[in-house]
Amino acid sequence: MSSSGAGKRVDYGGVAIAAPTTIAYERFSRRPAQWWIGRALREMIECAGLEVRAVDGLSVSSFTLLPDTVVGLTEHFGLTPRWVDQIPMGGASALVALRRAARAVQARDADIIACIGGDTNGPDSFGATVAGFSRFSQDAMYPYGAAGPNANFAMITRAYMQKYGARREDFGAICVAQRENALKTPHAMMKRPLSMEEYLSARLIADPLRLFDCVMPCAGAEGFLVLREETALSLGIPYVRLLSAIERHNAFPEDDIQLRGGWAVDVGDMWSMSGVRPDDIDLFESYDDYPVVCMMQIEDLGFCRKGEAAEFIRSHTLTVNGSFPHNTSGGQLSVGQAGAAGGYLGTVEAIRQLTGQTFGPSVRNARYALVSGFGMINFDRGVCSAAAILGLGRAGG
Amino acid sequence: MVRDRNSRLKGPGPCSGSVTPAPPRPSSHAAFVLAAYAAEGSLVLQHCDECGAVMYPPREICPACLSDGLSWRAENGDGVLIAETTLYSSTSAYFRERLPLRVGAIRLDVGPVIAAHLRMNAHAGDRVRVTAVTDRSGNAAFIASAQRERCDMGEETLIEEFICHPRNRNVLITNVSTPTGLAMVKSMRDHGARQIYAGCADPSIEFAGKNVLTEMQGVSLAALDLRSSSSVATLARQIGHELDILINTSHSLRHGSITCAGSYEAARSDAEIEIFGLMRLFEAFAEPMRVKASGVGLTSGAWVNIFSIYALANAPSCGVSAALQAGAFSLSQSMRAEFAGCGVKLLNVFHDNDGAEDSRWSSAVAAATLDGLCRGLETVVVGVRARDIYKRWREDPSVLERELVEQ
Repeated sequence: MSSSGAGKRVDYGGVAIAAPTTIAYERFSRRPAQWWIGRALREMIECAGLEVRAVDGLSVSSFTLLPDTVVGLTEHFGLTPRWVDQIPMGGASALVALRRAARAVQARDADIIACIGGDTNGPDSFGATVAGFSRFSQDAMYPYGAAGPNANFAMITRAYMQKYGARREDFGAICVAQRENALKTPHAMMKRPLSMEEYLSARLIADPLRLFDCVMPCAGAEGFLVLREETALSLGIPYVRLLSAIERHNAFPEDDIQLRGGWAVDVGDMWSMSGVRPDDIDLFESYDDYPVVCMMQIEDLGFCRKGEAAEFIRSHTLTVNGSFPHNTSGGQLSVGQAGAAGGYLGTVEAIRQLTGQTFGPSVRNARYALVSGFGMINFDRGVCSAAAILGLGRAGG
Repeated sequence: MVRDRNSRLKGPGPCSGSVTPAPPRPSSHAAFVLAAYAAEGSLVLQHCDECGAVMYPPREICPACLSDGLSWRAENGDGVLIAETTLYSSTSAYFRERLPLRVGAIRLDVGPVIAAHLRMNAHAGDRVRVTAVTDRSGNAAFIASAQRERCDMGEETLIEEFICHPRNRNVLITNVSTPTGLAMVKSMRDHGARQIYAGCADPSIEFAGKNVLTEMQGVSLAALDLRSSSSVATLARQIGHELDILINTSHSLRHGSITCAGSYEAARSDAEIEIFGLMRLFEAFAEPMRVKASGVGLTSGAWVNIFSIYALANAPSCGVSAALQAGAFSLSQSMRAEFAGCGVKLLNVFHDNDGAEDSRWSSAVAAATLDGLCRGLETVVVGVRARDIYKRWREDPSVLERELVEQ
């Protein structure tokens, strides 16, 4: 599989990403998705000092928005945008939304685009989302235990351990470090410190996955604005630049079981477009629905060779002030998975870190962040993968 | 009998307390195709008519060449178990009651990767064979077993539910005064049935094999006259609550075309057994059997109807009797719908006997019925001629109708 067609891609010059926004998560909410997305919209325009009518683009991602689409939201929120988009890509949503919005503002099809992921969570919504997730899963996975992604990622985790020699403790190192990062995140679902012993002895969910390998479904919203640098500068708001971005869907369909993602197809393109190297990256926000996926991303995005992520983790500390700051707000594993907002969490946190707008401790002098997304277990593997390198534009404070 | 507003059996639902919840019902056309073949014990996959690719999960379009010409074909199910897990958690109430649950991913020799329930003997790396059955809600469910023989260990609670082995189950055979009924009693007894109720219209009347029956341990004669609502209801009150398997052996094919003298009176009389008798049985036994199957422990039940293959397409030489069986078969389709999600599987056994029931033929029907119960099937066809007619019926019933005229 080759990473790109003929010719060099146009860079994302002049694109700014600003107003990182998070609506504090709740375990269960009676408010519908429309409320969560609308709250995020208001918060981000207030943060940027904008009038509502200045927003001329809207991109949303949500599993619980039905029967509405982004179209219904324009009327609901009183917007008259000239550009809308809806990205149904779960954990890859923010990066795919960002790529498209970046091109739209570059081409002046829109000036200011609000990108938002938001979902509600009732006592039965997670089960309903899993039950209605895809036709393939309804026909071919649901009759085998209605497991959602747990069954698939249990099989993937075990296969990964067998092939590459990763141990439970290596996955635990990711989860324990993220929990430490989450202790300063006010809306994190998991606020108690997690020890390796607790991680290893937690109750089994789907062998070998135990409780702390899995995210907690919750309600919440995350978002950011995509605009041109000149607009951000005139507003006087902190922003980051988009140095490169990739996405790939249904990569390696011939693999028996998913031990690599689409990043491996496009990783060369991502680094060469960005002009930076893995050593330059100050923080990595990976998609962490299960820790094995973090390991796949560390490898497939070029921090180490395939199969060596466990060794990489053993030789680094993953906390905010560690040698490899990773999922610095605690990630979904500790903060919670607010549906499609889970796909936004890493990107929003990276913008916060680079512009100095974090909830908790920040990575010192951070200039470059790598963000990665992964989503949509359509049948037996995650279909969508995406990644972007962000660079500091104008710091806040 | 307890009925809800839609006059269906009181089905398992979220509000029904002690009643076992069911897995989600199938919802796509492909799911019904998989289920229809699984009901016959076949695992089918789509093949591309243009490029030959084999695919799963079911699709509308070939992922290798974008053709929409996809045909279903039976596969042997051989493959390698590439990954496995044991689930200790599920979003479904039905599966939560059956944890832990072993599931795995199998790379089939013909190409695709499928998910399946795992027998205890199947482990990652093993060569396995995948078979298809229908689950409690009528979905096709795949089960992988190791190809090399190994000692099975532990409980396979969920898989036991897909099938209905007579071991330790209570069985009613509605009419034992025929060779088929007698063979059925022997077969069930030989395979571990706990209690067998041998139905006959009048237990005081002598019939062939009665002496043998009365000497069998665990077999008791039961008065059951399908022509009488009170007779059926009385027996249901006595044994319905403990019944796991009901085998209706009361259908019999008679020669005689619609032009024969007296065919109307004969049909009227036979309908009391073939049609109304089946309805009486269902009215009296369906609800207690549903309740039993919804309980705890070994929960699956089965209702077996034995039909002539001419229930599917009329053979004019026995045209009147075939018409009655066609009506009974149609009733059995609605019975299957009523039982959906209840844990009582409806098995139709089709045979090609159109004359006297000899003991060899009867044993074959009994063996096929046992096999169907043990494999969790919903359709079993016995005999070379019946299988041929069944195949032609699946291909095109309107052509078969015309061909049968000439026979």
